[in-house]
Amino acid sequence: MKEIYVNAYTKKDGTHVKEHIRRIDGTIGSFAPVEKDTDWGIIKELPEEDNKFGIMYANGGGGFSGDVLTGGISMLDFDIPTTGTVIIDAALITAGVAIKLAPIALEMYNAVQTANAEALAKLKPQFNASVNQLETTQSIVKSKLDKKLEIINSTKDPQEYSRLYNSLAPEYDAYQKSMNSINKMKFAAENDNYEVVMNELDNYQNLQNNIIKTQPTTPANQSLTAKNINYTSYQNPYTQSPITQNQSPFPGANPSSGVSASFPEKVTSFDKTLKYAFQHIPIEKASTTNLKNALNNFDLARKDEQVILLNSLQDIKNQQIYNLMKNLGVPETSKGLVYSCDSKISQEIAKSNTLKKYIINNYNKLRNGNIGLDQIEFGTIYDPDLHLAFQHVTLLNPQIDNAGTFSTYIIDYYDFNYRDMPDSIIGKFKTYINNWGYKMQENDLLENYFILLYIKFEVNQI
Amino acid sequence: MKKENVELIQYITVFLLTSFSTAIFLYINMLVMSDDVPFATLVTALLLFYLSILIKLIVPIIGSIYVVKHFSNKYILNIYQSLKWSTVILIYAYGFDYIIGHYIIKDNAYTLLYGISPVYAVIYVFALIRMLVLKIKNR
Repeated sequence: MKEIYVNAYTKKDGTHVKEHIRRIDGTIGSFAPVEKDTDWGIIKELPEEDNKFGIMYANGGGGFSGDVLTGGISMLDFDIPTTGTVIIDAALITAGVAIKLAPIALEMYNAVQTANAEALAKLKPQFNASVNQLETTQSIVKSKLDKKLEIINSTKDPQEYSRLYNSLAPEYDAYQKSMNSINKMKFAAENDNYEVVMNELDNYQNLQNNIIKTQPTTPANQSLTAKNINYTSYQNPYTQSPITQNQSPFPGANPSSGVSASFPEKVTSFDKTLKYAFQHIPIEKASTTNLKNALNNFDLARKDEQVILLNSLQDIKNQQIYNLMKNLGVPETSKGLVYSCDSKISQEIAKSNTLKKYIINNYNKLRNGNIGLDQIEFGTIYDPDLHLAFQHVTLLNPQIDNAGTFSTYIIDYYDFNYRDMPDSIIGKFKTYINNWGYKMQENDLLENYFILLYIKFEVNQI
Repeated sequence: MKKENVELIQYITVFLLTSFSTAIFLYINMLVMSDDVPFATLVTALLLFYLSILIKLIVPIIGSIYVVKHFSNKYILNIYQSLKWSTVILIYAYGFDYIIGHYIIKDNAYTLLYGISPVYAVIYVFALIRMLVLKIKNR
């Protein structure tokens, strides 16, 4: 047990907290690395900034501990309801209302110009109703933000408090700007100055669009549930069609969709020959390793000290990762591989051009820990091997700490969806091979599994 | 151009094309298959990999038979007649692949994908057998 000295501080609601000694038991709210001596060598649980999910890494023992993913630190910020989405949701709603309001405002402007009092009188109730709708939405936003502020104020950890408070400040700012804009519109409408109304409406729309664009999809202090993952904007890499809220972003999570009645077909000797060939392909790349693991009952993974084989999703004791995987569509019974940051594949990803580009483009967000969940796509030209191995992957909690170390968890699910035959010759060929994978999968000759990679490296290496 | 020079260019071209066949196949495969079905791209890449292994086995043998029968370039024919020269070239080929694979490209798949030594190894074995057969015949 460790003790730390906490300075006196004043909460937002005015409560004064005296200076005190806080005891840390190494689990909840701990920031200190905990060392455990095991058969695998000294196992360290990473400091919270590095490891929010309790995954341990071995120091000198060669690879992961057998009891990896054992729950670890219960993150306080995951218990706090979403803050970032309140303002985004409101922006999405009000942007829609503002779009409808724009033609009304234009008609009213024309009515004023042509001195058409009758038309103006007809349009005024519609206009007022829309403005009221905007005001109501903003008042809901205000009440939700206030509620979250109350919860944040009850946070006892000063570090957490300041982080959460800082994340809420821009939302209050956005709310305030939106309200100012609505008030200006109302005032201008009362004075029949619809030119100002239209200009202000334009400003308001820009403001809401900027909120939607600039806010991260899932801020760091957001609970990791299905609601927070924007499924609607996710493009299924296999079908290239947007998938709906009820569907998983992982292609194989809905194997029944689009499957013809004749599937799965029987496996022929040609299929088995192909399987044998791929099982013994003498290339050690991420793409071939993934395929070999799927075909060889994880033989490669079992031999690799940097990889842990999990028998089911339930082996992940950490609730946050477990829930996220489940929400992403990984079946409960699916086996999985956990790669340490020293594994070949993790190193390959760490050196990939796509990840470097992502870090450069999102450096400030990563430093602030603003990104909870994100997705990247490995390109065919820059990272052909990773494109073949993963294509799209989900990044969980990517961040750069004060020491300049980038860390993230990468989640993917290895499986195949059935595809209907297209007309083009190349398309037919692609589909045939894809369906070969599906056929093998359905006949239990190719195993689906989830992949959890831990990536950690110094950013100045880029 | 002299016939010998044409033969030399033909020989080197076929040799290099055969050596790089895996890489050429994979590159064309990425261009044609890329984007929407990575698994199909991967599987065709692996199939083409096996096809290129077949090419790397067959082309040097057929090519060598053709060279021995029709070529007149003494430097090329030396490979099939002199144990010293063919061994020197073999060591050079392996050394070249080792240096490039380990120190420059640093990829364990280098030899399989781009290496010149696997193709030359087939030629070397063919040359050894031919020399042995000729020696036995000339006794």
